[in-house]
Amino acid sequence: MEFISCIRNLPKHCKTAFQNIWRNGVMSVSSIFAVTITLLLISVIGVIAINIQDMTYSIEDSLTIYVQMDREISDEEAQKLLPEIEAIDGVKTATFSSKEEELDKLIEMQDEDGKALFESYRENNPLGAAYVVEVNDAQQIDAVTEQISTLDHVNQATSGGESTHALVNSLETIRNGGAIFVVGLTIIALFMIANTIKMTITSRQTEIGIMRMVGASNWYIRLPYMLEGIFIGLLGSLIPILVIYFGYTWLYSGAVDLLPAMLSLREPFPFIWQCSGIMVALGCGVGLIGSFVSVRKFLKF
Amino acid sequence: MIKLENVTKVYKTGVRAVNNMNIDIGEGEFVYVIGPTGAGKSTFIKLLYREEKASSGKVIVAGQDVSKIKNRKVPYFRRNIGVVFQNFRLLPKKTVFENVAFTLEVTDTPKVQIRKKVRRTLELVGLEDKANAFPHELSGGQQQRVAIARAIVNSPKVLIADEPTGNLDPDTSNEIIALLERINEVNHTTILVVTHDKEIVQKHKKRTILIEDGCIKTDTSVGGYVDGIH
Repeated sequence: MEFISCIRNLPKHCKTAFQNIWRNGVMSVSSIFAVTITLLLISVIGVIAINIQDMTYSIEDSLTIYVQMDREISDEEAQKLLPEIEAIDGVKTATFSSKEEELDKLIEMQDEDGKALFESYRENNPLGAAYVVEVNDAQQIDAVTEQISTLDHVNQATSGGESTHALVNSLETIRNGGAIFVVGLTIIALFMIANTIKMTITSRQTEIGIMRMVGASNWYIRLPYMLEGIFIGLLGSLIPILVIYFGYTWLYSGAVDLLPAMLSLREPFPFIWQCSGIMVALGCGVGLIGSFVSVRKFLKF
Repeated sequence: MIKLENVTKVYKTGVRAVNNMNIDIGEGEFVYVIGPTGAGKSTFIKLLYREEKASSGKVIVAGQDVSKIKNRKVPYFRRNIGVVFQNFRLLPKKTVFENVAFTLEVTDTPKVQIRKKVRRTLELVGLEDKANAFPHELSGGQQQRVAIARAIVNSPKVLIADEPTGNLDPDTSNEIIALLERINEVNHTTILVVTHDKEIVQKHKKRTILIEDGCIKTDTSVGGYVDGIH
């Protein structure tokens, strides 16, 4: 029965919530600003962290294992190894490169004299065929390299050795550090918002006392405050959304020519919408929970 | 209407505020509750509207055993009781009309009814022309009238007034008590007035209950202060 009454009174509660925001002007503005600033902080740091994460992943993706086959075996024989390599755990793709193609690559890298020199090897190619192997997870690159080395007819499998290992590890650290930073910041921000809302409600303790005095049920008292929290969260997330919308599109259009493809920023759409959605949800959710918890304290009989 | 049977209230601090109190107040009665500060008057009325729970004994108000009401149900129980305080306790951000209407809004009264009842009640307390004023724009006496209007607008069976004239000058105090008397006559509401004000008790003579040290010292239907008590 109480629930039905709450639903029926929802428009009235909404009106009350807006009235409260308007009539408690200074307090409301300070709450909205607290939400705005914290969300701004979260969104800017978050966007940076996400992009750095993307970059580290694309760096890792570009790490490959170079597998050289024995010189003696023919291309056809070398190609038979493909299913075996692909069967290894953690291998994403394996691309075959024939003897001829290997020589082409080599010649490509030389200057004019060298080109002429290596062109003369065309008839009697001393190079073996090769595979370029991509792995699913950069962390596994060493293990996969070792496994490939043990296969038949493999002359040498290299992944860049220690330096690759160190790079992968430091990228991992950057990612984890960023994630922890964002999560920590979010928690702090949520506490800040909840605290501000708590202050605005504590200042209205007498009001709640009076409501109880005249026989308002607990939900009747709570609902307008909860709606108020939601609206404050909503209003507070407006500016951060605008900042992200214009700021990120501007940044993206500026950076697209500057950064190499491997370090490119995430496409602005739907990324901006996702960020906006998260911010609205965070603002409203925290407003709602903050006011729910703060009011609860005054509703104990 | 109000009945206490062997009621004792001991606070967590060990203070025995009400000690084995027995009382019976009938429907439509007008009763003063007097006594020195710290005698237990406030605790007594807090027991009536379930702001405090009795440690032992039975408190019956409007036919309900107050200490047996579940926390969740307390708001519904309070709709039977109007309470008026010394410091008025109006909602400062709401107009006079909204303050009075608030009591009805929480009980899901239809809008048309609310408007009618609020207007009628404001007329009864003589504030029909102040409906759109905010509390801070009114004098103390007028604010107390609003508080009374709010307390009686949903026609409660019991009206409890805790020092309703404590902040008011003698003339205004008289007007307030006269208003309470009128409500008692017109609506047959049971009225309980806690007061320190000797003059009022002497002037508007009613049943007077003297509380001292958590007990009922005297209970007279004659009215007025008993000799030797201040």
